[in-house]
Amino acid sequence: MKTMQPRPLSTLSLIVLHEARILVRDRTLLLVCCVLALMVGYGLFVGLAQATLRDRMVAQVLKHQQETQTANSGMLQSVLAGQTALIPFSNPANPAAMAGTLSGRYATMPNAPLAALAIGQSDMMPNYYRITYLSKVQFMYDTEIENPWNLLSGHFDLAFVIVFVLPLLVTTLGYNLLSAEREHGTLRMLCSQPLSIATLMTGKVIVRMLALLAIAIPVPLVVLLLIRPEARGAEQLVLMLSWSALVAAYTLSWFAVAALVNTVGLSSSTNALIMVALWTILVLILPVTMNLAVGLVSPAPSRTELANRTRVATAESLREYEDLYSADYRYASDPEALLVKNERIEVPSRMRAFFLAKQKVDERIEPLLKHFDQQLLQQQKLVDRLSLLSPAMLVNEALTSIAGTDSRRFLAFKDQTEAFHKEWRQYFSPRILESRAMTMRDLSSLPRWHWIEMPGSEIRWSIWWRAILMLALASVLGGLALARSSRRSIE
Amino acid sequence: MLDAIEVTKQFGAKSALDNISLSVLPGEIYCLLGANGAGKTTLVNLFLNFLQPTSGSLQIGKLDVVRHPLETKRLLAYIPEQVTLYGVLSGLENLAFFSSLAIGEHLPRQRLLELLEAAGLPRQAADDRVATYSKGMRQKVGIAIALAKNAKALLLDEPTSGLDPSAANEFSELLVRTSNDGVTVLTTTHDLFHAKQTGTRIGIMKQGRLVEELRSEEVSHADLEALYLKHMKS
Repeated sequence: MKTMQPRPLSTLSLIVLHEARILVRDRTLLLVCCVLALMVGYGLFVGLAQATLRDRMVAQVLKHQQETQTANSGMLQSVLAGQTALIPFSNPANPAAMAGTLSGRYATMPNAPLAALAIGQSDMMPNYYRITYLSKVQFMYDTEIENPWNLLSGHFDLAFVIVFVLPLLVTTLGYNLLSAEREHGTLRMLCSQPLSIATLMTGKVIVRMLALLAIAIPVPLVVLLLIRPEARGAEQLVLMLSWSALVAAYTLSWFAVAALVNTVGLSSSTNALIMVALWTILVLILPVTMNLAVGLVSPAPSRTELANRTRVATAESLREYEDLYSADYRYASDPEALLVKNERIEVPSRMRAFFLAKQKVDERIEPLLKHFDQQLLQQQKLVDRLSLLSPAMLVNEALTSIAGTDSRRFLAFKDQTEAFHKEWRQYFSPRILESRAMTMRDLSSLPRWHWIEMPGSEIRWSIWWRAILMLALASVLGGLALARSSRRSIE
Repeated sequence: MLDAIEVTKQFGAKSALDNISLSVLPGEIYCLLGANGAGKTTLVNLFLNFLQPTSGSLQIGKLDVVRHPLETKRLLAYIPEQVTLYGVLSGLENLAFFSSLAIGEHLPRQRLLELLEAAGLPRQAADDRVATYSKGMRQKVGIAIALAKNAKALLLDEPTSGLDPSAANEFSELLVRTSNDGVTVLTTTHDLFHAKQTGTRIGIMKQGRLVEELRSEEVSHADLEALYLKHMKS
């Protein structure tokens, strides 16, 4: 009789190979993997379609902007040369017309390179604004404002597959990790060999997890690398690595839950019920409850109040300049008044009044908007804190951060747009108030929009701490499961 | 080789084993007799560390089974009353897996076939799925697994209950040959004839206690039966 030395690694590899063979033979794994592949494929398709649509939208508005710029340039040349009949509100030499209806710039936010990985809030929040001298209330606050968690639901994208569907597939493969062996009687045969339950369970989890992750991780990343060239940069590869780590940690934590449930020693059907109940609580009920809690603790800003206050501010502002509204009819009988003379132009008083009134509206409404934004920010902070309580919420936040479809990026876009709107007004304000005609030089030096991407380090940090937290959770649950398994009787 | 020292096992208020001590020496075949619920299987489960004793200790080759679960299982082979295997695998594949697990290396196909043959499984059934096997055929794969392990001690829980008389007889002969090689055997059985025929020592259990212990050459079949019935009725 030769003496055997402990060989945990080789025992583990034996279990892994054996489990793989059993799962392939009884076709469970094949079925689950096919379901996952279909869902990953469809989720990715939806994400890609949404990203492409948004790319096209941005391209179209930029094309429109370019065409308008070219048309305005031609028109201004013609007006300055005295070749075109003058129309009061479409005169490109008139700075008020150029600041408003005639020109305007688009503030656009391009898709992040990995946008297809999660739709997030991208189908709810605009990725372009048309900047004119109008009040920002008119173009930035005209969409419905919702609690961030409301915005998170409703998409069947890849993030949905990862956050909602993947745990169900883990449940399908993991609810009977040990209970099936016990019920079939093979656990006694296995445990009469030099094999610990911890090794057995680890081997079973490895096979199942590798099978799911072999589809869930490489398929989307390879497709993205092939279809979207912007996903091939070094920064994006780091983000893809983060995404992979996050998905792996989330999957592992659900397998750890399954292992822990299996160590209780209940029947397979009871284990399945417990797992489904846990999924319902952690993935469905908890986010909804937290949504309610966020609403109670930090109520959503009142849209009605904003609308009412805006109306009042607009009415007051218009009233303030009402004496300027009556003098425009003379341009019909005296079009020569609109001619550029010594680089000066008569800005129609109605247009001047409108410009000033809109500026006044923003000044008056600013405190309310600040309060409004503050409330949204507080909600987001609360959501960030509460997300620690639900792995699903935690992962969803990180997945949308990676895809660049999270609320932070949209808030950054909003902030930058506000700054650009201010710059646009400041550019035109002296020209309108001092009646300075637009020149060709002015036209080419109009304020230009530049989107400044959020710092990569900030994004990476927000992703990595969540990934580390998920990994820690998986380790704690897995450790508990292994500790319990070593103390459990086989009977 | 196999030692139970003042072992008590309680399930709640019920005592399954009550301060039992027994020792099986190398090369011995120790047959445990007793009615259902006497505690025979509980004792086997304790040696396998499937259960932990309430008090007392169990040793295999002087190693405590609770403190050294993996080391003691390397010394043991176990054949339960109902050998349960993986139905989607063939008998050969089951043997290959369990023997690899037991000895930490893969045995060649030829060796696996020899083991199955030695256990009495027809060669043409080796590649059939175990789901199609009868209870007796599964039992024979279980025996082959135990043989592959080449263990120092064998724990058998009513191993012949599923076998036809001829196969049971072959199994008894196999057991004797194994013990002659120095392997220690502890087997539970209801079969007095089998116990007398193969056992070197016989123990009778009742309500968790070892009430009688004797050498099989000291008693005839008839005396053993009478003694057994006397204990069961008392």
